[in-house]
Amino acid sequence: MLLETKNLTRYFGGVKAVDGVDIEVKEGTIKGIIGPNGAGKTTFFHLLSGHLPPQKGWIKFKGEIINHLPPFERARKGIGRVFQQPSPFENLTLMENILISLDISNSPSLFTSLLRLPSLGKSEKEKEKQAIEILHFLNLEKKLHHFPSSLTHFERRKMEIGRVLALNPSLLLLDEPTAGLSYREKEEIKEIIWELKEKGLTILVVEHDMELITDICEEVVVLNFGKKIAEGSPWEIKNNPLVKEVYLGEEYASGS
Amino acid sequence: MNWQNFLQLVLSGITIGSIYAFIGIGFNIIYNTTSIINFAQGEFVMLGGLILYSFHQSFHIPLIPAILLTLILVTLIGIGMERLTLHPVKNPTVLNMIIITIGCSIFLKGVALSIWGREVYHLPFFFPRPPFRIGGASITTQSLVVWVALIISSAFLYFFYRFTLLGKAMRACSVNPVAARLMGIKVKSLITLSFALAAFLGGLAGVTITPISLMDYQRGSLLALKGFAAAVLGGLGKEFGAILAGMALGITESLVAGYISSGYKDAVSLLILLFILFVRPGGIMGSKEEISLREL
Amino acid sequence: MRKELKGLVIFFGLIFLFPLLVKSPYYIGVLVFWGIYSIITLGLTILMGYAGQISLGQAGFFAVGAYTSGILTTRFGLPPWLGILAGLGLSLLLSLFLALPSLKLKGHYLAMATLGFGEIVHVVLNAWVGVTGGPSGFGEIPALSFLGWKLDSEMSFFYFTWGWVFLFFLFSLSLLKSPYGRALRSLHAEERIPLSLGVNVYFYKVFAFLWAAFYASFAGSLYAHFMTFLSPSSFTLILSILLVLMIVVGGLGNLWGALLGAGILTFLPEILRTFEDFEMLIYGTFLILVMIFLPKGLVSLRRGKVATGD
Repeated sequence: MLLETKNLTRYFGGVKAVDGVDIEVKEGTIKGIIGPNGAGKTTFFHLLSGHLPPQKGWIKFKGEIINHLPPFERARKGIGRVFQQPSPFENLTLMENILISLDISNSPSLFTSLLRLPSLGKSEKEKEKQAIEILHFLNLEKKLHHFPSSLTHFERRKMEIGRVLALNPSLLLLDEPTAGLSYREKEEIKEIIWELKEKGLTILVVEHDMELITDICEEVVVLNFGKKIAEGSPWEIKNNPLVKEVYLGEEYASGS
Repeated sequence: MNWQNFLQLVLSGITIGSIYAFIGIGFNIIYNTTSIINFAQGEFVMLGGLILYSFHQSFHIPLIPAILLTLILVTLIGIGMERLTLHPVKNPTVLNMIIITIGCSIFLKGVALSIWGREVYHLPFFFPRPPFRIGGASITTQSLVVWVALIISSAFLYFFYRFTLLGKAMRACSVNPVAARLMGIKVKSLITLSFALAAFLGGLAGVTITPISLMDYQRGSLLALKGFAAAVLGGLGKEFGAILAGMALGITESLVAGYISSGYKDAVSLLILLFILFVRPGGIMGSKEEISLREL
Repeated sequence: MRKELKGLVIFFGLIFLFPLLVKSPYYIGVLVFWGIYSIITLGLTILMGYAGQISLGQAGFFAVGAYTSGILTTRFGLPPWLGILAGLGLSLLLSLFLALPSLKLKGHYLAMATLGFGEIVHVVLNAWVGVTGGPSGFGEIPALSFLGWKLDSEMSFFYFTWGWVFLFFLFSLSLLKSPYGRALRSLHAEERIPLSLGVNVYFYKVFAFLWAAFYASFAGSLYAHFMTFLSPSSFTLILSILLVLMIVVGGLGNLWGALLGAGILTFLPEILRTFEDFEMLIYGTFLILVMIFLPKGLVSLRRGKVATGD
């Protein structure tokens, strides 16, 4: 198991945003998380990426409990998270945005950097090559030296995926990757996700778009009021009466 | 340790603490509508004292009308400052706004310097009676005036925020300015109102403290610093936290000056402040939960 | 990097020519102050303009640098270079003590904590009479010498100071153009973003604090050996605020802005001195007008990208 949570719980005051959630994510699979607004999906991601501490339960990643690790160490261990709101570094070019994550694993000493010794130039060249590769994969190589403010919403989205890919993660957390995108753009994102899966990445994705979930996920978890209410293949979930009730309201469930 | 001496120190600590509280409340009122710190808050205090001196001592206006005129004038200065300097800024960032208030502070000090010069001014007590005696310590009538002014104005503020539409609108504006605007609240007018209120309270502090501690053109800054400390210590944005924190600061200072050394009095109160900040980053009244929520 | 170097050569060329054209020791002295303040702002802009942290206590580190090297050389006869190093060491230590707990603080709370630090230093300078000379300060601080050249004239100190400004500018520039600089610039976004990309935000915040303290402390030592006299009144909150103003007026997050801001706010009071009591009126008006009409600082007057500005 690449990722495992047990009894994961987070309150805000009296509200249980995430309430005793257990999930397991196998290596190389794509798992979807769905649920109505306010079901705790984003909070659940906050707990996984370390941006919020849980009050109860544990998170195991690569067989190791990571509850105590701050977000940046989880990122270094291989949990890459793409946020729901695109939030590029506005004061850095597209290339530099990608370089930030490449610096994590390949950075010369402060001494070398301040005196601009030759090895600085060498490592910069290497990273630039890697960054171009990633941007090429995302069809963004033409905008290398643009600032994020001159990119479209879709390009910013992809740039953020690229930024996380530069970390070379083993688990990717995608929070509504296709929200606000056109049909064609959605298709491109879908293709990117498939290719990443082929490369061996494990992906956990929060989405509202059931079609996308059906297309890419092997398994789906349904959250409601912070609780896991169902888990199974997309087909099973679609036909689960409890899930229908949550999504379509009680009228439907009572059979009227 | 001498009990009377101790009590005396606590009482004078409460008086100076009341002034810090006044200023701290002023900081909070403006912080709540604009999320900036108004560095000119101390200048309102200074202007309160010096304008009253001119009206009362130079123009011989009787005390009560002189005080009223002073408060009206200081309030108008507060409104003018907001309208002329902060209002026109198109895309305000917090840092820019803060620098503007620093500019206003220097400007107002410059105005005071050109009108009143560098002299130190003194006003008589409002009620020239001998001090009251409690448990061997004495309280001057002017200290009572400061306390009563603080009690009345905080009671007024409390009712204003709880029970009037305008007060509720101001609280709404501090919680979420965008939503407040969507609900039809005129945020810009509320900002002006908050400067008026803060200037009024600053002026009131200046008017009441000048007979005790004297006033000159640059005395506002140090008071503002302590008032700022009170506001932060009480939890920024919590008007009534500032009262408690101001008292705590005033009493601590007074005790340190009395028992340790007056030279280190400012350092000790600041050290306590730093310590509390590091232990409770949201101030003594702030909760930790709130802080972690705000970060997301 | 190459483009900036061209600008640097032109700018420093002009500066170094200045004493040959204007021989007045008064103006050269003012330029020395500009250089000393520039060193502080070149460090402070890394902290404020890039790491997005605020410091209202920079005068404290300036004072620590000045007093440490002043006291060690005057009372204990240490060579000035050792005094400067000791000042740097003490400042780094103090900034570490201040920075670590400050990681939890944000915005106004951080401003308050740094302001408190500056004030504590000021109070100690006043009250620890036995060592610092108290409010009246102490004098007869020996002049520096450099490669056997005694720096006791305005002119020699001028070249010495601006030589250091040049070096410190290069250091800050190299930092910003390195992976460390990229990470520092990423701190400008909401903290959660760099954190999620593996950037150790805490390390960089502390680092920027130390960087700024280092610059301020070094400038302080230069100040001590230039003035040869120190008293607490030179290290007040007003100075801390002035330093922040220099950066913001010049242009936040821009090394040229740091130089420019330091220059303008050093010269302005000198010019205004002729207006005596109206000095503050004009000064305050100037600040307000710059912030209303040029909120990105004076460097924004020049179109296009300047140095490492964003």
